[in-house]
Amino acid sequence: MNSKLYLLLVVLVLSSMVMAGCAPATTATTAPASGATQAPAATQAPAATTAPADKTITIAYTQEPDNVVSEYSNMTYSAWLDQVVGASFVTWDANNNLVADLAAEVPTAANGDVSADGLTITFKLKPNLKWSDGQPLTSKDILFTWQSQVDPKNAPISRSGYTTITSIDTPDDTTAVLHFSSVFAPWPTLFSVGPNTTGMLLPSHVLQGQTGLEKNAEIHSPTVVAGPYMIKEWVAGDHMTLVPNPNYYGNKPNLTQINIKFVPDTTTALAALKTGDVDFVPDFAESDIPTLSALEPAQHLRVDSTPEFEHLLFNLGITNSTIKDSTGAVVGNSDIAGFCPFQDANVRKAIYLAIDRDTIVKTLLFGKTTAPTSLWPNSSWYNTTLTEYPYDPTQAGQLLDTAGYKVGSDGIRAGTCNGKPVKFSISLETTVKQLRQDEQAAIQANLKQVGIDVKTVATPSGTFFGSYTEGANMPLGKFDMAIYTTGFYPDPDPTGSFACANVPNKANPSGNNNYHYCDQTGQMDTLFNQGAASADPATRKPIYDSIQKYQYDQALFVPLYARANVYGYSARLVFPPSSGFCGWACNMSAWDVTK
Amino acid sequence: MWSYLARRIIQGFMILLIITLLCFILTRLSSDPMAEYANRPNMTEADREAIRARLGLDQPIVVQYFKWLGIAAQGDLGTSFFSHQPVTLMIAQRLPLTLILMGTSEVFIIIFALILGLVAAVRQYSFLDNLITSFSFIGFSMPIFFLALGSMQIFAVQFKAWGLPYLPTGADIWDPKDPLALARHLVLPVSCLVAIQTAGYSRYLRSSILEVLGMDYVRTARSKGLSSRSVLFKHALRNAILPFVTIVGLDIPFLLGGALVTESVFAWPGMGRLFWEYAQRGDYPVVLGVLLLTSTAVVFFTIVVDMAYTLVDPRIRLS
Repeated sequence: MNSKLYLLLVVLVLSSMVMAGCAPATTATTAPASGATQAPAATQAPAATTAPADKTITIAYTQEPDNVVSEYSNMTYSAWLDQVVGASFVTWDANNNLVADLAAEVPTAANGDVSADGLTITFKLKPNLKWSDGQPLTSKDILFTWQSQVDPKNAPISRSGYTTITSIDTPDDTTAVLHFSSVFAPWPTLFSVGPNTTGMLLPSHVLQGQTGLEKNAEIHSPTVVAGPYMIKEWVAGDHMTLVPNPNYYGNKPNLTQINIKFVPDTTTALAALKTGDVDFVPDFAESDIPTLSALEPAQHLRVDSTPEFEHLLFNLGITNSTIKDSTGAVVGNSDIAGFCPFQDANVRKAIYLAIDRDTIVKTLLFGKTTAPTSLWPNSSWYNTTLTEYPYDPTQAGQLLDTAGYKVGSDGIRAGTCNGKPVKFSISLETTVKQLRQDEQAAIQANLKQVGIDVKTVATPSGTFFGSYTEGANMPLGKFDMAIYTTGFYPDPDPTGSFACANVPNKANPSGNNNYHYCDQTGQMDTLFNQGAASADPATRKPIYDSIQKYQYDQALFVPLYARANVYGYSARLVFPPSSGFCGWACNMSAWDVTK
Repeated sequence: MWSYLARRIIQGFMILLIITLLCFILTRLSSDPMAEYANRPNMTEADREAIRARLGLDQPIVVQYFKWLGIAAQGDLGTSFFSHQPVTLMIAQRLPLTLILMGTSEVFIIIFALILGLVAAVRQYSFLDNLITSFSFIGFSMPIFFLALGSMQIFAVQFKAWGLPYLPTGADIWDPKDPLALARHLVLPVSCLVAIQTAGYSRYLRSSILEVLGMDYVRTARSKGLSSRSVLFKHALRNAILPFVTIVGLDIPFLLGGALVTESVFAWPGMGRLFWEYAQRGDYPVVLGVLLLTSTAVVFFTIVVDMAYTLVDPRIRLS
């Protein structure tokens, strides 16, 4: 028996070792670099007398991209990579100006590339552009990228914009003439890399004739790219290595190698920054600001205020389907009615006035950002003429009194709304993120001062942002007030989240109007439609100013603060300013190291 | 015996079916794969509807489960909702690394547990026993994330600050220029896992040995005048180790699942992280793929251990 016993023990112990020992040494999905991509060091050396300096940096990503080509990914981390390896037709500089990337010039009405009706836009590429494998990059690639996006056999994340293109003519290698069925004002986001844009130009000579591109290895990890860097190696879950693209049209990138480590825990990323294992971490939380400040001078902190902002929104849903706006759209198209007094703009204003936004910014955001007055802060679309709503609980109380909601014996306001008794005991829902829960607590205390009892609800984001069909509270309208961040598109147009047609309901489960708001005057829809009807920024700007003024006057939501991107980076890294439209990864060819 | 085996295998399949069903329901209820598309500004309703239809999320939940089961029954775990990669490939990329981490840890855990359990039992109530007991309880009750982050702070961050050779913080474990990189990266996560998991095993072994040392045949052996070393190793330990082997055997399949927290903190590209990253996004093909692998291994090893037991213990007969 004893010998059998030993045998069993040995078998069990060895089996675990064998499983480990037999494992292959690496699971690297190394991209086969073609001869052309392996640029000899000598060609990179600035002068024959100096040895090529090793300018390698390491970046920590807390999430690993699912696919690099961001036409097929919803991850910001993919968009950031797409920006480094991909190239756009046009892009934005550090001051948010639209500038040419692969384009010979930015199409405008003035240079005749945007037709008077906005329905024809001529894309002119720089001459002699090349893909990283040395093949020519031509207007055929623009045509192919569009075709692949609208092909029902492929499954891109979004076809928005591409479906409004009816045809593309390619009279020569550098010219593509895009014909639109209707004006698509945010056309610069097409064939463009960056968060919320559509994604990089795809190489037709590699992908032509293939379908089911979402599963294609070239989409997952492209080997043929047009951006400043290209992928040399990607070890799943561990790291990715980028090297300069020798055929990049622009200035030769300063860095000789970029290592991207996938570090899921920001505490680990912070430790790695401290030890010098990484040089740059792009996604610290706002709460990390004081910790990062304390690391100076060995590591630096940079906080960029962005066009995205955190806001408190009201559920403005109406269920009475006989109510229509001036355009005939059914206003009462929500499945669940919001808190009735919110239909009164004065009640919304009172809540706006009762929230001490400056203190939230100072204490929770360490004063590193600002409380905006309207949509699109830190961008050229922002209406700078609006004055801030002050923190004024006294005026807030007066507004609520005038609206007929008096403080009861229990300190909570009550009254009647549409003939029914209502009590200001309302919910405020957000995600489980600590900062948001702190905001909830601050707002709860603020509103208590004016007789509003707030019940805080924290829901995991996977459920909070869930879909109508899954029974999520936002689209179903099962909330009174909520807090989240509005995404930013480098264009004010297609958000659609204030449109009557986008109120989610049984007939329209994918609607994204979580405000459940449908303007009874029809003015909001009209203004947005006007803004989208022109491709000329100068014509559009006053329309979007009016939209912001209207939303501000109506106090449709309470902007809490412009979201801040918190970066931590080593002292050796030269990290040039970047645009809020394009993000930190936009101009990586200009990054450098001092030693 | 063969009918017993057949019965156990059928039982095993039933268990797997129930496990996958429960996990499917839990995953679907806890996270919505469409949630991340909710606020993307450049997506239209049509885009969202197209994704829902492509992922089959517009179908009743029962249909979704049986569709997945139908594919899984053919040995294919489907493709990820988000990366569009085959789940089997994603698992194959992570499994070897998880086995390296967990296998190495398990070997050290067994070695340390044997030594500590034996010493603590032989020197019962001595200072050494009390010391081992105290450390066992500290290890046993220490949250792994605390130990992991704490050890990283000391052996990586502080050692670097003090100018000493320091251990890496995590990730980038395959450094082609440095073949020892993997070993260096293993030190901290393995130490943490060993520190925490040795405690349970060693306590178990200690009580098992103590129980055997009180048996009549041990007393008989002693009365025959055998040396205490001979009594301990030839008579007591061999018998005491049997239940320990069972425990170790049953724990081996869990190695496949990886260590979620340890892998996350040390950026180890293993199965635990794969599971967690995709579970958060509601990607149930990946989640169920990982679960199916680990639960199949558990069921398989349970049967193997039970069968092996009959070989080593003549008192057990299968009927």
